[in-house]
Amino acid sequence: MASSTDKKICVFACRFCSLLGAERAGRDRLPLPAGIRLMPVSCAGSVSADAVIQAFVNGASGVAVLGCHLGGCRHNDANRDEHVRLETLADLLEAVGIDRRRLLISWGTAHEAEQYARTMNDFAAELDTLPAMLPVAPASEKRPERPVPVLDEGVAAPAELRGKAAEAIRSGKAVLALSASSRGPVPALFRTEAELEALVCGVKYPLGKLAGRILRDRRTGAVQGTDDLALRASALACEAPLAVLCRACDARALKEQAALNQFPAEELCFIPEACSPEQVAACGCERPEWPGDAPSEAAPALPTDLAANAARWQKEFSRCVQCHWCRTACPVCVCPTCALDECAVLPAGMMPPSPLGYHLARAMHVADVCVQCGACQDVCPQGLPLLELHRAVARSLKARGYASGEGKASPMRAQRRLGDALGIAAPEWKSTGGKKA
Amino acid sequence: MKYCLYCTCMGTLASSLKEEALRSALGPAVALKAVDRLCDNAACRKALEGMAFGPADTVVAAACSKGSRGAQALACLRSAAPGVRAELADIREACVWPGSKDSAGVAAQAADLVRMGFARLESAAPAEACPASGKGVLVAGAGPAGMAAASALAALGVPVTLAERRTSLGGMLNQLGTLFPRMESASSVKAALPLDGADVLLGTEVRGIVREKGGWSVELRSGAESKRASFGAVILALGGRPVLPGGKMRSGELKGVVSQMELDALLTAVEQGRKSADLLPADAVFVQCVNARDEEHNYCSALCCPTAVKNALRLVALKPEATVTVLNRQMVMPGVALEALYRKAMQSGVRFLHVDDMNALAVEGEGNVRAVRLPASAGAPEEVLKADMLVCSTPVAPAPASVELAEGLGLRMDAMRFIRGHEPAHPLESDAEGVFLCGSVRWPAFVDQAVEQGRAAAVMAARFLRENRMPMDEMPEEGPAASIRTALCSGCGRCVQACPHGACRLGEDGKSAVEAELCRRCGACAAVCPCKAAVLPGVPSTREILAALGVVAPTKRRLS
Repeated sequence: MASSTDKKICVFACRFCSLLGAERAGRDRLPLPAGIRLMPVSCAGSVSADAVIQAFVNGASGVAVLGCHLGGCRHNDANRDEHVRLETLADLLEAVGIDRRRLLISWGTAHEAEQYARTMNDFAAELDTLPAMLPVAPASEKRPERPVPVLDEGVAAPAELRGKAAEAIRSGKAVLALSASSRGPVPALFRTEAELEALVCGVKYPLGKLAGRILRDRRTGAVQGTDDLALRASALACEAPLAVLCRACDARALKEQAALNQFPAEELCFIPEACSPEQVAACGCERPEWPGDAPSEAAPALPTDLAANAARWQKEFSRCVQCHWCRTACPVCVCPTCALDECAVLPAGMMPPSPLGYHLARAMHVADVCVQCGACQDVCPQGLPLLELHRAVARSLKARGYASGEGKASPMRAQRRLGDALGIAAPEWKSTGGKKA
Repeated sequence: MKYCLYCTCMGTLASSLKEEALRSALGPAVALKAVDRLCDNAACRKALEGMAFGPADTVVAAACSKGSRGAQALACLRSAAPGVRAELADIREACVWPGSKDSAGVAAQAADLVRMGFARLESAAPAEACPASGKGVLVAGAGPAGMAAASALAALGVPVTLAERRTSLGGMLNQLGTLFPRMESASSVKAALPLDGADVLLGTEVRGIVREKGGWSVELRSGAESKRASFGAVILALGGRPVLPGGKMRSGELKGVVSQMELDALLTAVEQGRKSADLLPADAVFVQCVNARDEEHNYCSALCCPTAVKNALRLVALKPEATVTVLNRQMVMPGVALEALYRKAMQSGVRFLHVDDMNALAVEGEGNVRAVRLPASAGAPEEVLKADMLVCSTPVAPAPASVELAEGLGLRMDAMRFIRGHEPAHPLESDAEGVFLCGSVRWPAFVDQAVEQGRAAAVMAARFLRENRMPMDEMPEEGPAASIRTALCSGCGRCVQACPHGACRLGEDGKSAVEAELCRRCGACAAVCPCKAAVLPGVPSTREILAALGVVAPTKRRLS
């Protein structure tokens, strides 16, 4: 029974405009699609990306977010931020093969009965023309042959880098970097120049996460959690300021953590390690330059074939075993308890989100702070190409002139502007003749 | 137990949505009862006869939309069964009434809407009422703007305190005898602003204004005494500071070189018979733009020209044989009334002469001012004007007190240090919520403009206090404010950046907190919080979305 009743449409309607349109449409007995499930909201800006993702993952055929026209928001332009968030989400949905037309983002088009009815009927008609969404079935797919990146041995640090590290130590800093050991490169805290003999570089190691933890430990005065306890305890015991010898992505991750108030930005000190072209190629990195340097070439466009994207990601997600290592490794995941597996969010007894919902929600949670370091992808035991999701989000934001780790205000939460509305400056009143006294 | 009360709207919905169809669509988990109507107290009580609801029971009223009678139905239900946990499901406007559906589709949609209502009840946090501040308004400054604001607030019945640094009310009204353009007396304006019911504090300076819960804490200093008081809103009406000639045009050196304000006071005294008309000059030269539109005061105050014209008219009225020459760079007389005043002055024999640069004027005289020498300019030869009085028209600058308070509050100021509002839509609202601006703290204002602005600011402050809502908002806030579950908060500050009302802020513990009085329930914090620490009751929860999609979520047992 594939009647239109089965095609459910979640409608989030702002109570200041489209909810009034919806009520009047009912009062006027206007024909409306049967699948509409109307949810009044106090502002369209309260609709989180999570809510939209939840709706799609649980079988909604379409989601409509209806708010006041841009510039007419009753909540100081909160809907402008929402617009950026939803457009970014739409780009992410396309990347996994969900047609962006399934997410109706509409401002100021549904506040009268006729408008609302037309908007919703057109939307339902458009949904009918779209090919069916692929079911997100938990089919088991074998791990791909693609090798999972493993730590290589690295190379002994070149004299220049060693010199910079020695200089930092001489100026009283403790250098966090990688040290050669019998187990391969391990993170270590260098306090003396003699120790620098063991310094290695050229290894992809998520130092940004560790350095962030150390700085956070110093703020809270205690080592919390379960990772790198010995090193972090010694780092907490040592009073010296920290200098981190790391790559550009780690530096960006640390800057984003500071922007998220995890520790004061003044405590950040870097010894920049440039990535070799081979490393850049191995990571598939699109941003090897250091924060503030001229950006590298434009990234290639993502595949836009929705059916292919959908088929591919269905396979990829079906391999996910929900170990959540991607989250554990992420340097910019700073929440004390992750909302994605907390009972506080998920009512007790409910299933954790499906892999599709989980990964989409995670990508949107870190949308504007993700530095595309690829730590999530590197640790994935099932080899999911997770970086591609984050790149889709980053590309969407880059089109709005935003890039993470550069100290810019995120367009997803930037509407609270207090600037001069008109930008009128005082005119220069100059005498037409004579000289100034 | 879950109860659903299906309001058939006097039986009119029963043909499209049969009670049995809804019952079977809802399943056995929900006890359904069809009632005639819910939006009437007596009918509602009758419908609920014999029903008792325990604390674990939830009730969904399947009725019409909130905008119709739904809110009333809910209120009737709550009054008939006090303490009941009830929600509204709009099945009339959102389901039954829109056409083009088969009966099965109607029943399925209605059942989903009812389940969404139960989901809202399940995910609802216990309601917490937002405390009304119950505080009054402080009006700082008792000039025409401040008096108008305090007078309007007192008339509205809002508790208002009017604090004035000087020991008398009126501010600039005390300096000006007659007001342009209608030439009414300043005392009549003052008398038209009664302050009955207002708490007037004279000789009291308004100092540091700091945010506190539910409003502003203000230091009121009276002499050596200083005390702090709490207010729900503040109106800044501190006025401006008249700039003095300060040695320009040989003022202070020659007798007879005075400021426009001194001439104003002299004219008032002569008009009132307190001084002799012999003191009035026979040949007066007015010099406009003294200390104005120069490096230091890089703007036009726009009120010195009308003042000069007003005083020229008063002078020739009192002493018809007197000659008055107004030296100006250009006369700024905006508006029909002022333009008429300007023409009247020209008809009365007041001479207006254009001078490019006032600094090129040579003031002559020894002891007393004798003449003013105008340099030759394009097409005009050098000219010497006889003068026994030289009147300097000077601008209005921001008062030091207003700059100090604005700096303390972090308000935006322009290059001249006047305080900026939210131009163009809300020019009297400052950057600090609940702090309003009027009069010359914003920009040099005429007395009638200052009075109008004072009244407008009073209305905005009163609306701001009442129910703590946005001044321009048409609809009142609903439900409890947003809150932060501290244990989940990472202190990342996303909500602080996203909150359009500045209600979220990071506390000393590094965690975010919502100031309930500032929260307007938009839910932007909940939308951006990745840890789901920020919650706003009423934002559709996961549970509600699942219910909307017909996904049945278990409530007791944890599955995995």
